[in-house]
Amino acid sequence: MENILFIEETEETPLIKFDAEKGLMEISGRSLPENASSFFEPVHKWMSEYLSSPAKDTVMNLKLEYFNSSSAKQLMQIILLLEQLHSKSYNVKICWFYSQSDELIESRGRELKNLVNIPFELTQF
Amino acid sequence: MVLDDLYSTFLTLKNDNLSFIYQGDFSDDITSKIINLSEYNISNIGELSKMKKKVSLIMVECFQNIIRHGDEIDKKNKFSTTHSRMFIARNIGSNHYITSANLIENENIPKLKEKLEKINSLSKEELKSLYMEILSNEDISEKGGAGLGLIEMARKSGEKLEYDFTTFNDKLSYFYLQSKILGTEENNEAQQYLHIPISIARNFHLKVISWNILMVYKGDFSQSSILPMLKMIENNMSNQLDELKVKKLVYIALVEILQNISKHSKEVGGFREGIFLMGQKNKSYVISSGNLITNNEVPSLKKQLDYLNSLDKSGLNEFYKSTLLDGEDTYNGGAGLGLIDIARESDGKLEYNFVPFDNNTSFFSLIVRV
Repeated sequence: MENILFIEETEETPLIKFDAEKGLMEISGRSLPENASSFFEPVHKWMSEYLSSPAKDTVMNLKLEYFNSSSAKQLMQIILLLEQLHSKSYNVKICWFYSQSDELIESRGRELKNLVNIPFELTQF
Repeated sequence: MVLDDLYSTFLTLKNDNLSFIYQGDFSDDITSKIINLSEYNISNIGELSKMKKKVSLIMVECFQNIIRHGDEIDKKNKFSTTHSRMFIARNIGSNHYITSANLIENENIPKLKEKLEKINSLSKEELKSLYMEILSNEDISEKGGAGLGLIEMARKSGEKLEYDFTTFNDKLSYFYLQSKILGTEENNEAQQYLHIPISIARNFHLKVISWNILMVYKGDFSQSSILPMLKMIENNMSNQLDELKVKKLVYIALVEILQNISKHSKEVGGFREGIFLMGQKNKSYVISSGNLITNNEVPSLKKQLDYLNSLDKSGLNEFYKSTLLDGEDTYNGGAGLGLIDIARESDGKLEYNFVPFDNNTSFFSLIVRV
């Protein structure tokens, strides 16, 4: 596995910045691809390799402006992988960022938080 | 706007490869997106790049006309004419039609008419020399209103400019202007629709005003067409005073609806065709889509829609969550979540119907209010 997974942001896909050594991951921007599963394929691949030799602490920063339903499913899969890691007693934290007055992204974050058993912070920025 | 209106609009535009109707804000950013959209569609049907360039240039002149006339009136009369500004681009066979509508002052009509008649009376060479003459005469080009734009349109089009005026009140009138670029293909099936009279554009304008339509698009719904449309609507909305939450909801619903057309529309000749119409009524937005699907898909889609309509908001949220957790991805990357998402964001039930189109296909229309 490459230590760093970096995918640049486009008009329709988010920035992906994963660092295995630091255990730090970030997905930010807009995620609107028609076929999200093919966009997120390298992300899943990287993640499953990461899970076999994870850092002591893992933090996933999610800072999304928009995401479509196809991406929602992919995000859920990523969160579930992190939940697995958490259940193996690693320190895992998800930080969900939403801009002030963005009730929609806030409620989407709350919804995801309620679906998993993992430290999940909602933070306004 | 109701479901029947969507179908009747689809039928009116049935033979169009591309139709695009836009009402509202015409900033530079939006006009460049409209050009992207049309260029993408033109290149898709394998036309010559020379034609593409002509169409784009006429569009630019058209937008500048709309903006210039509109701004002048806004400034003088201190009211916004944004809602009277409309633009139509249609491509049928190898022919292109570009139409604008905007308000002008009645007192300026005779002068404008005179200009247009003069332009229409001139030959290609005469137009060129008139163009050069105005260009070199600094005195008249001051206000940009010397008719250079109109001459340029006539030169690029190679056909007569069509125009019409409809009285709005004792001070103002709607000014309609249509240019056409005729393709070279002969014996084209579409040649029978060769002439679209300007009255059709006027009828569209009346609909646009009465339904407060912001955008109609009929054409290809691949991601490269969807993105410029999203951008335009986003910009158009940001210039209005809606709250962020409404904007976001509209955007989310739009993405799902547009991608839904792309995913489920029957592919014809490499195109995933459909129609999309967006309007605004009071404070809410009406987003509607229509596309052809094969008849054997109708029962399961109908069942799914009826099921969604039978659920209340919390039922929809639960259904959304369980579908989200369900690891199975449905075919071609869709998550089956799209319709659920649309249903839970919409204000009221989903409105839909299926109209038999031919032996194998039905026209599926869907209206969502946000």
